[in-house]
Amino acid sequence: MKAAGRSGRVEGRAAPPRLRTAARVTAAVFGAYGFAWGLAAFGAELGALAGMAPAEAVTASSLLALVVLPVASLWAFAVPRVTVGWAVLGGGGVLLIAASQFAGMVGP
Amino acid sequence: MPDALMLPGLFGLCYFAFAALALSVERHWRDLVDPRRGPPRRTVFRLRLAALLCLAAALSVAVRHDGTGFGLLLWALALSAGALAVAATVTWRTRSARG
Amino acid sequence: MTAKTRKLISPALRAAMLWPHTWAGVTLGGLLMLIFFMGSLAVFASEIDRWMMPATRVGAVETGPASLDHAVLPAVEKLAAGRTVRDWYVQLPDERRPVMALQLRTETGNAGGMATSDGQLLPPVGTLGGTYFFYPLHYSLHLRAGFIGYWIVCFASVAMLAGLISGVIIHARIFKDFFTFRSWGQFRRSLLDLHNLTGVLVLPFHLMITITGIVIVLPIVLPAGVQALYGGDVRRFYDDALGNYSRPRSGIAAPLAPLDPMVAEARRLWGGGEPAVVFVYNAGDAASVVRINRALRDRISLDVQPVFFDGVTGQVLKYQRPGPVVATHRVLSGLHFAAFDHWPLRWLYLLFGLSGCMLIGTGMLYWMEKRRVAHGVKPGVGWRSVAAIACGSTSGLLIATLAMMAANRLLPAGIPSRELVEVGLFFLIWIGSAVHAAVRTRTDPPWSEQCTAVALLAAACVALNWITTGEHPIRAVASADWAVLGVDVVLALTAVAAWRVSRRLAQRPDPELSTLAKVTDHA
Repeated sequence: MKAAGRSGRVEGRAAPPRLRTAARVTAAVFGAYGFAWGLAAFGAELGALAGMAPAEAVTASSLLALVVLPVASLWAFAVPRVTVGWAVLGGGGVLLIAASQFAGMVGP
Repeated sequence: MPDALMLPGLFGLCYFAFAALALSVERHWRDLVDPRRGPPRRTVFRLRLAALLCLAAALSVAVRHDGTGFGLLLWALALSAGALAVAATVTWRTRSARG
Repeated sequence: MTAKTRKLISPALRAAMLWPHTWAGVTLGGLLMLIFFMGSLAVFASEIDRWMMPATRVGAVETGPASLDHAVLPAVEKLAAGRTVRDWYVQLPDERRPVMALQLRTETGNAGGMATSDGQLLPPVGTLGGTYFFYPLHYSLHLRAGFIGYWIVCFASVAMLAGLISGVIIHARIFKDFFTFRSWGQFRRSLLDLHNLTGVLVLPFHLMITITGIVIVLPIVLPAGVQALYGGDVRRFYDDALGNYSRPRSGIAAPLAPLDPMVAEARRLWGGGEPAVVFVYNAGDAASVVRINRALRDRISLDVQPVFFDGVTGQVLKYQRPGPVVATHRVLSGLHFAAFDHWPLRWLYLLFGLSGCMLIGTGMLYWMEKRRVAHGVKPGVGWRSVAAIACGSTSGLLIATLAMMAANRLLPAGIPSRELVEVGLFFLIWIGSAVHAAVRTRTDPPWSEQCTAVALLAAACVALNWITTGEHPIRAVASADWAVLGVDVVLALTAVAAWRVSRRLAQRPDPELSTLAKVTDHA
């Protein structure tokens, strides 16, 4: 329980340790997946806009997202504040998905 | 190189490369060669150079025999096999040296 | 380690990585053990098939059937037994599987069977064997509905990747401890040495096999790009990426054109190579499609180079080569599949797959040994559950696998749904051994008892193969039946090793708590 204890000191005594652990784990699982999803979707749209064949763009962006996924997942445990982790992974994921929707509307 | 010699050659080269690297580690040098002092710097350099040459030779053997794709894959996996074999040897020799 | 990387990996980061590394391993270790063990078996699935399907031990064939039209079509007719066939495919014989495998989808259900390369149907094999049981268990846990098995396996695989990365970060002295395995002294230290050794020295393989495993089903488990550019239609994506082709039935009956000229045309398009699988979709329909896949034995890439023909006219409908990124994806997938004929690589894959099991197993054992101190004489429910899972997923899994192979040689050929009885036995015995592990765990799981069971079952398998098929090692050597001989030798080695382990464990005294208390626990 080293990580949870350490982050506890950084975050003060606001949230009980169980809740903080749950926030970390969900950020690592769902936050990181959402981020990878956004990256894959945005990358695919970007590739298609840049003139790649759709199948190529989808494959390339998915492979990139797969490499990022475990790293993002671990980063959710490494970041001192779990709220920052959620903000970057969850917020970044939402932004990337929104950007991909926008790119989809702009593109052909 | 004849076909029959390819695999023993490849694994042998990988084994020797990692054996040289293992000896350049101070703990194993003290356990296996000289308990009083670590390996001299010149020796460490020579061992590492020998390891590098063995690894390069192993790569060339694998790629020449199996082509680029299969050769690279075989070489990469043979590295792990060689390193595992060296670790087993180090354990066995250290254990028997300790009596 | 250079000064730069030492700065990059701060003590705080190292400490932060310990928690996910530990708990991912403790919670998913059992599942990962199943995936790695069944994956290791799948490398030799064809050989296990020969062992479990004695009727298919017909001796090696040099080439496939001379004529598909003469050898395959009558076998399809016979298997259909008067029903209307909708789609069918045949896997042609190769070096490792000397028989054809046929699968049919008829109007009233599926049918399948095996035939010799001249088209003679073999009696039903009555088993799923390595190819249809152990191998799907590896990638889908046999949970096919909604790809739920893929999702679970891929989730565990991402955790494995994160475990490998965090493990490298945690490991303080990678290069100093590179070759270190202290088999003497404290048991906990030996376990950690072994965990580090298999983790570091085989790291390239473990990283490669875990990533490429996810890569194969990436469009299914991360369909973000497919969602964005193909409206979520995975089938349309695959048609586009892999050059697949499909069309609906027309409802107008039409005969199938001869297959042999299509094979010749496919060979010409490939520029050499052998056909491996021939599919006929919409059989007997004016919109029928014939697909011919290329054999993968001489390449790493999983690109099967499918050629699609109009089933009525025999004209090429589609032959599309993938772009560079998709081609890369196929090479990555092929690295995992190991469909190539390369025996040294095949053995290395088995060895390193099992080293993955060792990595996971020693990790779980290390956790158990470390927590033992905190628990003292009476271990808690958490510790005992992990101990039972560790035991059930290692020796218990071996017991279930070996029991299924023994049942394969003992069950009479005629009983109904024989293959399902085998599968049922596998799961029952596996659950049984896990329950046994849970009930008998006091200060330790019942390793010694289960290892004895493994040894007896493995020895029984070798004996049963000899008794029921008459194939003993000398005859296997004489008839060059390396597949069956190889399985028997591995079984025999397993028996000897498990027996020696069980004897040693039985002689080991219970962990003494007075010495345990002296061990400083830095958790």
